[in-house]
Amino acid sequence: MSIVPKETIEVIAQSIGISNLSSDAALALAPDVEYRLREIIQESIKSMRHSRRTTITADDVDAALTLRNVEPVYGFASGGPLRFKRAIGHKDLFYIDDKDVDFKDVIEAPLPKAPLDASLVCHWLAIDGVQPAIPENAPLQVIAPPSEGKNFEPKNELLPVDIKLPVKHVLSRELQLYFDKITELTLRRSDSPLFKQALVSLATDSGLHPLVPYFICFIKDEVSRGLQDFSLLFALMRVVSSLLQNRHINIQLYLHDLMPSVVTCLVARRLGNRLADNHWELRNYTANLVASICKRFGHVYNELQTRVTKTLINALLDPKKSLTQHYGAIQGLAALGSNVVRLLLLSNLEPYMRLLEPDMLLEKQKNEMKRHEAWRVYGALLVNCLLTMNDPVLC
Amino acid sequence: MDEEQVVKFVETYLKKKGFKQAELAFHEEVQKNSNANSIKIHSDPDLSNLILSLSKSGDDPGQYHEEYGKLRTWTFNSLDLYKHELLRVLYPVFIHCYMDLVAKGHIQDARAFFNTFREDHEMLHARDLQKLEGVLSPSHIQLFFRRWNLLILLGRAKSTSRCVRSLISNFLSNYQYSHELLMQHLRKTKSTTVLGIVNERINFQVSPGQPGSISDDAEVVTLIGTSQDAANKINKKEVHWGLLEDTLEDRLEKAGGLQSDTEKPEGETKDGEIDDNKKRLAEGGKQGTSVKKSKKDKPTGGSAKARAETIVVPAAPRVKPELPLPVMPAEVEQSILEDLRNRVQLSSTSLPSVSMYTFINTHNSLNCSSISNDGSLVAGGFSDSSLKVWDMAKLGQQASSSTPQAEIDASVEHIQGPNGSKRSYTLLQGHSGPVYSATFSPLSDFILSSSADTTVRLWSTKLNANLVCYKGHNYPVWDVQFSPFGHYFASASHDRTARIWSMDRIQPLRIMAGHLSDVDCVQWHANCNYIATGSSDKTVRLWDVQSGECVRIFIGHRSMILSLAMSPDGRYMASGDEDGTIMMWDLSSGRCVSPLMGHNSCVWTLAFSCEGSLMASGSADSTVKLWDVTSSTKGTTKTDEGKTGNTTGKLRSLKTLPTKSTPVYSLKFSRRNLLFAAGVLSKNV
Repeated sequence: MSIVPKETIEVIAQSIGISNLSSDAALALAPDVEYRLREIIQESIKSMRHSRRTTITADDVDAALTLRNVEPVYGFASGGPLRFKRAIGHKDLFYIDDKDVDFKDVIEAPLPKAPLDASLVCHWLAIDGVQPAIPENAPLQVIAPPSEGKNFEPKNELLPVDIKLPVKHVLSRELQLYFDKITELTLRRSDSPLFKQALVSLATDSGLHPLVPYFICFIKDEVSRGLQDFSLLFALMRVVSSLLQNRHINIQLYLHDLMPSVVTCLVARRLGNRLADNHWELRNYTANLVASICKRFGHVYNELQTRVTKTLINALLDPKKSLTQHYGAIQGLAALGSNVVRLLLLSNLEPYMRLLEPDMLLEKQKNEMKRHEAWRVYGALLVNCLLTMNDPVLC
Repeated sequence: MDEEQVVKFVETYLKKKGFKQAELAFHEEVQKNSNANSIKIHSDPDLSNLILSLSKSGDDPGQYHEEYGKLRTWTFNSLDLYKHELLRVLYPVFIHCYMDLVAKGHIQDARAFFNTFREDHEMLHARDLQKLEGVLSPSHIQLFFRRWNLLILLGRAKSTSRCVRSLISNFLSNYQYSHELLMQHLRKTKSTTVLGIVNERINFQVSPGQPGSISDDAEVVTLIGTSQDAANKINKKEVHWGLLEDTLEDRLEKAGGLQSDTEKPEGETKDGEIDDNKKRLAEGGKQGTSVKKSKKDKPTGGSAKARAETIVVPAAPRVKPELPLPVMPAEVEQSILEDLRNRVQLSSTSLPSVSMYTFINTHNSLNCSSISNDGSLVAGGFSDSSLKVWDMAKLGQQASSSTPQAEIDASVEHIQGPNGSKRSYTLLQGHSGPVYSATFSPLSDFILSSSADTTVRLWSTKLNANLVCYKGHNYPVWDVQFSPFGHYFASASHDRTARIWSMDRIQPLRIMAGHLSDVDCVQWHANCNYIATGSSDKTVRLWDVQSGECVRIFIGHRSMILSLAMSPDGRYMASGDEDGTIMMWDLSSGRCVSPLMGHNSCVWTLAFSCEGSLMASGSADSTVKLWDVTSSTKGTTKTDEGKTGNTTGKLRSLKTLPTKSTPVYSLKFSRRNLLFAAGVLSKNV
């Protein structure tokens, strides 16, 4: 009921020589003691406020007691904070450790250093409302880097993937942070909505140009390393797509580094290591990507498209290459436009079909997987050729 | 309702009250009239139930809990339209229930009740609740109200706790419909105890019409000593908030406007002080050259300032001083005029420069600081009863050259410390308790200090000696302030009074009594006819110096008032409290113009810039904040003639200047609008 327990009252009574205090009396005294304590503390708070402090001191309590015409409690004015100790054997009893001090020790002890005298120093807190950056003033608050949506999380873990960046020019801290975050998202959490926002950021933000070489390098390394990881490859292709979309980036300077990685994703033998991986989709996506690159930069680099088509047709016509590679090549060629399809695909259609046909037949090709792939390739061929033949402009 | 029931009611009632003889007499009476059915009573079943429950309701402590709980849920579920009005009823009912429980001795239940429902009121009334929590026995209630005056003044009623509590009436304005709703609910749910409280002790001011919005009646819940009516009556008194006639600003304006060498004409005669006039004329001759000089730079500074002032000044009506004011020496006046000419015009776009004085090595013993008008002297009051004065001009000298200092030291022995080591300050000793406040006279030739030893002392800065000790207060004197023209000063004390003194008398001239708790701070109005006092009872009062009457009560703060400032045009007053809230008041209407939120700890000091466009506030959160005053007052000065304050304008916070862990103790705008700030470097903030 009262925050001062009955036992405390009994202990206090004992300490001042009243040994026969009845427990009823203690019980009745407890609330009153609490009330008086609160009263004193309230009064001390007034004294504290007028001393322009926000912490209460022993002096304030003394002042409050004096106001009440009560003798102040002496002996607590100076020294460090008082430490209460638990009385042995009692759960709720505490006391202040008050050591006996030998007079001799006190007298013989060397005088302590005189405390420094109060003094006054003067400085400009502000000049015409602006705070000068001098040591006397509080340090100016660092302006937080513009956050890229909510991409940045406060955690600052290091990347597990060790990317040695040949930093020759100074990259700002914010850009480094940005790069670290984007790469981490690409590697780790490409399925999160955060990654989508990152892609948007990559596609729209200005000022990313200094990072482009690092991104290209990153993509190159990761594609060559991570052919087994389907989702990573897809994420990387999306990053490429986003970078291509960004109008503030002059990416054509880095195309020679970028193209091999992209074409790899189109015509690699194996993309991903699981059956469930829908590498067809990745190839389709990459095919479109390649086509868009060729369309956009074809006039700057004359041999860009020819080199791409050459690579693709070589992949297609090589019977030793796997069907998945053929599929990628077909899609890549098809994406480049009906002209390319007519010139390269249709002309080679007959010999290629001869090659493909055995794989499609149940009796010839026992491998279910292979047969499926063959049908897939056949489907792609069919669709693309039909589309081209129906194109009224060309036919 | 039949007769038997009635008899039963009366019997139980008499038994409960212990009227034995009356009971016996009643019995006899009943037996006599047993066959005559003469007693006519109402046949309303509701009422009979009510009476029944009334007679039953005795000392059941659970009832309070239950009924309050019911009221609370009902209130929280009520329509939004009426909700905030009904919510206001909860707090007083809560307090009364708690007090009733305590008074009846159900301490345990009281605690339980308190702890269950305290959270509802924690936000608005945290401090009150803390105080109330300690009340644990019937005898405390009486003490409590005598000492703390939590809710309202009960000063004169000391007889019994019952009597004391019956005075606790709370004043709530409620709109008719909300009021009816409340009463209906209470009757329906048979919350007789609460109904009793509401009927007996809560005084509703029921006004017809729609419930108001939440914002415009923030002050209504505040509880004050005198009744709301009385407060309203007080606030209806007229306040002549205008400036004095013929201020220095006017003179400057005239000088700027006329541009003639005979610049001391008409206005002087109003003073009727021929001596002064002569002096000034003589001075005018001497100053001829300087006047010409000033004409040269008029296009750059002077005229622009004059123009700016014409915008501000005409808004303030002129009043005559009610006190005989001291005459200002001519050379001082010249220097002030010079300052005014060179004043920097401040606005929301041109912020002031701030010079910061930081006390170091004070070992937590500095209680207050004060800065002279020109910023050259800084005084600090310490808890070791000493007052120390730093002369910033000398401080600079010491740093540059140490040898010529010896001569000055010889003349002023106070600078010499006891062991020969130099002190950078003048030590003034005389008080016998912590010094809580210090103030410089307008000309910086005197310092007043107030202390816990209940005295105010006057010191001369020229002689470095104590001149007078003013005794009058019975308890520590929290604050002392010189009037804007010097000679008079006001003090505020723990004894709940503020007093007006003049330097030449050791007895106070006026005693302002009326606050319900400590008077914590005091401030003079620009025209010297009024003083404002801020108190621990959470109100600010404005007093007429001549009559000693309270002319305004400003209600709205939620904690102890720590600082006050008056706008230089005399129309507005700002007050800062313990929670960090600053409120701007319109003196003529007595209403709050706008509360300024921003600080998160005690506002120790407030200061208006000299032309009143900016206000600075210094706080324990180690910041100086600059506020735009004109944005809110513009509307009013345009419409003007204004009792109808345009209170829509909100004051903007213009800038926050953080210090390096230095709580700001005092702020002062110099006449040239340079802002001085002083504070103590404290590591552990």
